[in-house]
Amino acid sequence: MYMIEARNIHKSFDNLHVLKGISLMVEEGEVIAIIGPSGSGKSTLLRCLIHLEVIDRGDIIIQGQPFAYEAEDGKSHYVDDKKIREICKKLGMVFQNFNLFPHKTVLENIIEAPIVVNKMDRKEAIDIAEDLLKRVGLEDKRDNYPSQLSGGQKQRVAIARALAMKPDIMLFDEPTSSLDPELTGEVLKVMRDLAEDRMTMLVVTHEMGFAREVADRVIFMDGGEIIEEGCPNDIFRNPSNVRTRSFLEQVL
Amino acid sequence: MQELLSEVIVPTASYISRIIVPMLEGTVVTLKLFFITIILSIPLGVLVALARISKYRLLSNAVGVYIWLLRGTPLLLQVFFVYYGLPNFGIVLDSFPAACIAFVLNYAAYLAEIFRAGIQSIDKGQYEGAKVLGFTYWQTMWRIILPQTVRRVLPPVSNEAITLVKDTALVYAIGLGELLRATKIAVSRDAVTSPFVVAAVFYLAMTFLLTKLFDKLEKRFAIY
Repeated sequence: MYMIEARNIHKSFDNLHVLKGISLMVEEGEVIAIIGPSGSGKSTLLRCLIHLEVIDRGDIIIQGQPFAYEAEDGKSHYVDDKKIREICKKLGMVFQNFNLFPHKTVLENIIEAPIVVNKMDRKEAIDIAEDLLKRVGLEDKRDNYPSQLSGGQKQRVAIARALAMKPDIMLFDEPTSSLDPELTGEVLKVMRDLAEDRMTMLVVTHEMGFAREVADRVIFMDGGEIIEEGCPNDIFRNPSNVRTRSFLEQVL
Repeated sequence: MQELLSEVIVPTASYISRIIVPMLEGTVVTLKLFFITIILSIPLGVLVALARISKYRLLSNAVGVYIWLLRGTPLLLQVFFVYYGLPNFGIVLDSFPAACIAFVLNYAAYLAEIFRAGIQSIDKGQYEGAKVLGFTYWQTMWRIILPQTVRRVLPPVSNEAITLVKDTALVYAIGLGELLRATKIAVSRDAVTSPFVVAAVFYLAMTFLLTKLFDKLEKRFAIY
């Protein structure tokens, strides 16, 4: 069973055709880096997988459970809201801008969803949160507010917050793009640890070093299509498509 | 002559002691109307704001008409309508409940627009952050969006509260014995204007306390 099966996904914003028939199969424990120029649809693809955007055509199946499927009218239909929420709980997401809750402390950010969404006992949620904070190296920040943290610390809290819901798949949407260069390392390290623990990960990134060293598979997107995909060695050393080659020449 | 003049404008201690009791009684009515309006119009305003931004067009439009009517006509007219107009529809109210109804409906309309602006000023990333964690719309509103809105709307709500203290004087027009009416009775009876000065001090004291209270609230919410 695939963790994610996306078939022939199309997505338009008004007249802008952003995804032009993307198909993607993700296996358990796989780490996939999605690279490509801005505006190529990488972020939109992630957002479609977790229902932040609604697809126009195609199917999305998460761990064998369909949540959007193309009907005979040629349009995608979604299962009901409750079922969508149930399926999306298996996915965690980390945003470029963190989206931490500013009115809650670090600890409260992490325990909020387990308590409110999963009705977890508060004490149990705190135990889990403290373990996660240790894992991302921020146990001493538990009572700080997000505004008192650096960008790298915020992003590590955001990762801990997503992990508190025990997702099977983690989506990262340019997790280091809004960080100062010297702070990207601490976030990438946490992501590396996660990959070593065999978390299934989809990472939209401009960090080519990370893609090369950590990813099992690299997908190059341009103009709303997957142009080329393969293991990092092939993509980075020997890209077969001319667009991949010219993109890599610009960023490397 | 000089003594008489000062007596007209600046009240003496002995005169104040004579008018203070009815004026305090008037202040009690003023404060009652103030607190009832604040306590009921804030939750109603939140509901109206949420209805206004609802994706259900019919609800949103209906609430839009409500806000337009209540903000588009004088509060005094609304008070008159509830007190003198509703009996035509078989609803006869005493002056105080009539005043409360008009005030709550009017203030809820203004507060709703303040709350709507506050809610809509919250970054959409907050909704997305909550959504990917599995929050429902109501959980997101209640736990994430509204608590952040409180801090942003405190200054304009403070403005409304101060205006409300002074608007209570309008109910004088339907014969309610609030502070200004108690003042005017003393003025007419004793042919002096000094009770107006006393009333001004009363209003200033109330708005001063309110300002202090909102300053405190703003500081308390400034921790993040």
